[in-house]
Amino acid sequence: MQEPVDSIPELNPAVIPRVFGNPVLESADVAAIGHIAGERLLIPAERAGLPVAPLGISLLPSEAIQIQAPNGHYWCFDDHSVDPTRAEFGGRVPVPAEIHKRLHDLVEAGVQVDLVWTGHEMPLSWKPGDRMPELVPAPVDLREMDRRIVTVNVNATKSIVKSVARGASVAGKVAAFTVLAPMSLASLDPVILGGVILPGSNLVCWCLLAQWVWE
Amino acid sequence: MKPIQTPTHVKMAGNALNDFVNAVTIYQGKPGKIDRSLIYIAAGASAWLVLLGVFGLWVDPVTFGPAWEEHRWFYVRDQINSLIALYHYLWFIPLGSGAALGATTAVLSQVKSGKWSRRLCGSLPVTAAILTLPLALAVCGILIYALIVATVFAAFIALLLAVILAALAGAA
Repeated sequence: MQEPVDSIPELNPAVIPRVFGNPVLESADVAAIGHIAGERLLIPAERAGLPVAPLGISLLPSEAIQIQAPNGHYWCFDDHSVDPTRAEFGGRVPVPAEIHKRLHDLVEAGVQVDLVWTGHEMPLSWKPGDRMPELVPAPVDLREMDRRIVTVNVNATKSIVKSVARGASVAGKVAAFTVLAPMSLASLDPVILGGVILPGSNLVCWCLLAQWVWE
Repeated sequence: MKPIQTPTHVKMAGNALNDFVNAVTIYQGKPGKIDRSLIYIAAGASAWLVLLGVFGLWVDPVTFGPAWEEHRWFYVRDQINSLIALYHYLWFIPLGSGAALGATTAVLSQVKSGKWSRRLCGSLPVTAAILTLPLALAVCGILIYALIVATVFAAFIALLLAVILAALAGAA
């Protein structure tokens, strides 16, 4: 159903400073936080055969981050405790079974992070301040059924309405349904970031714990 | 460097991943507020009621005149009518659709959780599209019904006026 992917096209180490802030780093800090991140995150994960990708060092974010990717989509990052998908799933964050296993394995491997942030790709039409859209799509089989039903219903409705009422106003409403329908079929990509904080500072070393594509 | 502003929800104990793992759930389908099977049943029932109304309207002699009663399809109509005896209830078009849609809404609002909900997937566009067909039929039915009523009423008024004018002319 969902397959993890190896890289995030629109999110890479070069983007992290832009997303979370670009701190002025001293070499001692870099060495210290690198050591801690390796000890608590990178090395245990590597030993367990679950490599995680370091993304970079940033300032400790104090609020949710919303940033526009080069492809025009906004990404929303925030602590997992306020993840927007929780609302749809009874307070829990939905993840594919493979990701669920990976996260459990990371815990079993002894990985410890101070921050877990989730990032969600927003629909292209979404802008900061807009209402949060539904971020988890319906299962593939249901979406395919949706597509067929939508097509049949819209076409049938168009024919019926046009045959009875030839006015433009009624036909316009049907056209609106046609435009509205594909919105439910979009799939958006989430990422899960783990952050290790350098004690006594506001520096965070971020790593990519998991990512997948809702298909 | 900015001063440290640790958000209230940030935990510094290094157990954030453990917290997160305890807060995730395996995706098994989107829990929704709408049971699709109920949608299909309700949409089918609505469409059927509407079609009954449309059929009743279509075959009604009032629409097509007495000659219609000699058409062979009228026999079919008559046979079906003898079974359902609903053809003349033109108000079934809006009423049937309205009742079915209302019942659908009521039932769906009660479906919120449980095993079934794992198979449920509610997206407004799909729901709207599904409900559009019977709704459009209902609107069409109302329009046709209103047109017939208006026509009959206008004919009645015209006839009444003609009689009154004729009476007045005769009196004059």
